[in-house]
Amino acid sequence: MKAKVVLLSLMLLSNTSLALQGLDLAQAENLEVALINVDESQLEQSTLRAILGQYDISALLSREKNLVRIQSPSALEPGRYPLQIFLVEPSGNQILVYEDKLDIYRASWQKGIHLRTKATQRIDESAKEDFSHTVDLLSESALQSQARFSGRNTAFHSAIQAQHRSDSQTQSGKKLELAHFKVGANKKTAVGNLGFSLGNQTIQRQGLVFNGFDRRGLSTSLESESGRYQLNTFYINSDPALAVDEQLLPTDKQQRSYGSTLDFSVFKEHPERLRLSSGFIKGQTKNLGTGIIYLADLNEDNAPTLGGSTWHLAADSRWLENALHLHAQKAHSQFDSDGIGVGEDKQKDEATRFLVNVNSQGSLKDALAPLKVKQWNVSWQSQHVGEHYYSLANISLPRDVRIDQSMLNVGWTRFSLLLGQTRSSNNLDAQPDQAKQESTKSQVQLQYTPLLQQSNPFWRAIGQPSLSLSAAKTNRNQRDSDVNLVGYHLDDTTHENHITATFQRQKLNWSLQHGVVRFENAAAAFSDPLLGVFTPSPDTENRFTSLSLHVQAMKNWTISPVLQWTDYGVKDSRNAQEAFNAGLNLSAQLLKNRLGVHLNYNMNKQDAVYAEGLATQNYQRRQSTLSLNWQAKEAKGQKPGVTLSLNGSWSENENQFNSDPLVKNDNYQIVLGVEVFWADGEGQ
Amino acid sequence: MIHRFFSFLIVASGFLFAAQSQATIESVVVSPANLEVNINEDLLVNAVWTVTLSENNALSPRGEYYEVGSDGSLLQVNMPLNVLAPTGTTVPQAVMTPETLSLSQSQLQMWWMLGVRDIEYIRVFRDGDGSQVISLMAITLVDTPTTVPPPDSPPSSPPPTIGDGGDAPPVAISGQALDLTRLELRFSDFKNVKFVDRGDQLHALLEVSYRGNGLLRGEWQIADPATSSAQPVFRVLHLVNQQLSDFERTEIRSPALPTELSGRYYLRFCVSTTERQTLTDTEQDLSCPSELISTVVGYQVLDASPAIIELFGLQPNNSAFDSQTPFQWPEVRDAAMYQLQILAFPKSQQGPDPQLNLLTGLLLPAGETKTLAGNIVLSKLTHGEHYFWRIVAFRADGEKVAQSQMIPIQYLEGQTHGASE
Repeated sequence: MKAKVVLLSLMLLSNTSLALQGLDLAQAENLEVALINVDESQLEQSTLRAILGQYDISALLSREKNLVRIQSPSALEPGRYPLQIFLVEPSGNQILVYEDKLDIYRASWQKGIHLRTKATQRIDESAKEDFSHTVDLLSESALQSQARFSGRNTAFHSAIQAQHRSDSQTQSGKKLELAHFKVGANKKTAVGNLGFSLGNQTIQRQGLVFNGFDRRGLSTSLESESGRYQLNTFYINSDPALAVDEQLLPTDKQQRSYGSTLDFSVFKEHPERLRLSSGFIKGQTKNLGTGIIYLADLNEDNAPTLGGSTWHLAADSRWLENALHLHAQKAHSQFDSDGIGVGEDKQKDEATRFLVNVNSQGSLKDALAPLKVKQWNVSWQSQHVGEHYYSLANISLPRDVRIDQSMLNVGWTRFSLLLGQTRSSNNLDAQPDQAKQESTKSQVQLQYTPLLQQSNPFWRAIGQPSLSLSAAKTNRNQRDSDVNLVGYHLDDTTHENHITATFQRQKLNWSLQHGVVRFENAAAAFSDPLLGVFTPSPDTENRFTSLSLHVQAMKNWTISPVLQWTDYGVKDSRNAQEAFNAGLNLSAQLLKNRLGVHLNYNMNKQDAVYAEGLATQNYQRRQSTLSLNWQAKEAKGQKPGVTLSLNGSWSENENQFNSDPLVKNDNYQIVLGVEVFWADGEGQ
Repeated sequence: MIHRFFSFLIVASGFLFAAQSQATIESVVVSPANLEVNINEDLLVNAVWTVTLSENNALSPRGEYYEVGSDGSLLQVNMPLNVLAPTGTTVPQAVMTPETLSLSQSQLQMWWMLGVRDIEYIRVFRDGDGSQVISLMAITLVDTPTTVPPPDSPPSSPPPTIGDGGDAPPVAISGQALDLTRLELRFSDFKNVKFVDRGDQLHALLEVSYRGNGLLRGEWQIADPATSSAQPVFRVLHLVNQQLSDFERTEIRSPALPTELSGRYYLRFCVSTTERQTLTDTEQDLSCPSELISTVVGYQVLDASPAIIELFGLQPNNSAFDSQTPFQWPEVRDAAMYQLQILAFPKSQQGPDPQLNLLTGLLLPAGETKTLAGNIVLSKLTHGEHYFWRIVAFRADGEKVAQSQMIPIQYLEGQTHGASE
């Protein structure tokens, strides 16, 4: 007889109330549960098992007659966890005898700090002028600190990540950077969990309005205990910033935004049946920031201020125990994209997204079991974004494009298959002065991981293999008559084929990848007295091969070589480019936790032929670094550690243009450093 | 000769527009109209096309460089310029449309070598009514040696800061079917600077916005703490060859980033142009094919807290397990409780940066250093699948005191016990 789960009763008696159970880890409280209507003889003959959240906590249980005691689960983070207790009968039957949710909190401060500060002196270099922009003596530091109090009804949290560099050679160009800071508080109220925070605000959503971003500012939130509704409001800088004196708060009108998000489940008992969400953002941006580069006509000096408002409504509906997911989203924007006060005024536009996904979860878990399919997934998605649709929180969303995507993914135990097609088109408003261009991409991907006898010496030597094959074909075209609008024909096909083999075994992981991309252009040349002469780009072929290994040669020694080669050629032409990259990374602990050595060597070579062989360029760069680190004093508890380091780097560039004399430069630097490191508690 | 032909057209079109009052493009003037360019430096100039028009928007699909006195086009710049007509008026008004012209030093030197001295950069603007105007910028190439400032004098331009891409002058990749418009480099939590512990897994994401179809070639480059505490020296971590053809926006995931040294790392993505810069200025860092088309982020690697001990000697290790396989680990002195965690990559790896998810595990009191997985844990696992496991030890106050690395294992029920013994 198979084991079955039977709900016998739901009763409890404990050292606290009959309401939702709460357990203070700071007080090392144990939880006691009385299983009243379970016969004691049945308890004697059975084994007790319990699940708390995702953990089997059977080892924390003890029993005295009908009273079950659960040892304080001090290894868990504060939060709300489902708790289930089972009886496992000698026959194997598993009987659920208790089920509830447990509020675990810790009414005490938990703190952590990491501080690293380092002073370095360049003691030798090839020539002063090689390093004229840098100083010989500098200091740099990093600080990470966090503190939190997770009381049952009130919680406080703070976190900071900062770094300093005395020569200002940082991403922001400022000495002191604040990579992350946040302070906040949460309080449970009658209407839900109320929160407030100041500092870095991360909006995780991915959609038409938000595309996941992190900005400095303020936010408030309200979330019901059950998660049925969740409201967030924010007042933030529009652009990312790092410097400590830059946009710490959203004070610059031209670079700040505000908005909100709201999520609400219509059906209380089945929240997944219909979840509505909305979002809104309004503000202005200069649209620049760390890590971002615009390759169009924008820079800090002439960047216009863009701005406007965008909102969306979305509905998510899940059925068949999450096997069927339906999603619809509509967004609307009113945005001035060419600069406020310049050119056009604000323009209105819309964007929509629809998604249907059916998969092998819940009710459809065994739908394809006769075919021995372990998992499968079918999806269709359609997205339409208007030409003038913009969102400050998703500024790079492609516009004036409709994308339809369908995908089938089927997985057996050792084999998986993916089939996909994506169609995109532009000129959604059918404007007569714009061309209508279409693109279709079809792809197939296979993955195979054979089940091998581990005793086979061959496979033991090279490792467990996994093979991946993919092929894709993309067609782009436009109506022939549109050539008179844009001045060129569009009719090309791109074929992409890749094969990847990865091998894994203890102390050795390696992979081999090879790809070929062929571009075939069928567009005709075009000549017009006014539009000019259009010469279609030629057919090309690109090949790419990569080999990488990670070997633990001996205990405390690892070696990771990488080899890559690419070849790009133009059909019926001598024009070609070839690149080769070889790297070797070696790490060793010469004295365990005391003396470490890291060695890198990299060689990068690029050869190119232009203008049908009239011009050639050969470039080569070799570079190595050596780092020796000796831990002079080990950090213990609250006592700081001291590490001395000796770092050397050497690089050589060679460049030859045609048969001109080889231009060559090389330089090296040797740097001595002392680092003091201190940590207490947990850093994150 | 094509330049004469265009010159004729400009003059002719001037007469034409004077005669046709209904035409909506009145004129196009480019500034600067004449430019002298030194072949020993990259050309990077912000030009402005002033288009006088009414009612209909105008479009220039591309610009083109011609050699004066020759019929052949030197280079096409497939960068459309849209000029939006002023609304609410039929009176022609001047609309200024900026464009950044960029040519690499080696491109200019190659033209020079081929005998090219005078160039015209030509654009044709056309509106929906069919009216068209051509305008051109005259460019003269000169060979003037680059002057290197004496060591004591300040550099003529401020020294480049590490990686604030926002400060980089704009540039268009010309002459290719693929036009990149925006690069954004960040980590998976949307941050530009990341703090991680030594040995952590880390990847970055490059968001590429583009138009058209083509091959993106580039290099992931890293400067590690061995050099970042002086002059950062970048080395190539990985070459990128990726076809961009479908969504006009794509995310490229970096290779696994090194985290074995504590200190500051810089990560850079450099787009490869067709030519590298030439080596004439020894002060320049030429490791990036074009620094104009590159973007940088950074991360700090901190040593794990000395209070957290790293655990070794766990079993099973990189092998199969089943219900009879004991999980074993060394005892941790201050531990009050252990977490035995079993993790896996999510089935639907749709995200570009999948993270290991906790699937199931056990909580075990101090004193235990060995356990079987048990039915509750095994019921969450699938026969034949690969997982990772680790042990984390906590004090009674909730502080983590020790943890192991992630250890790969495979669940093979009933087939491995004998082999693993």
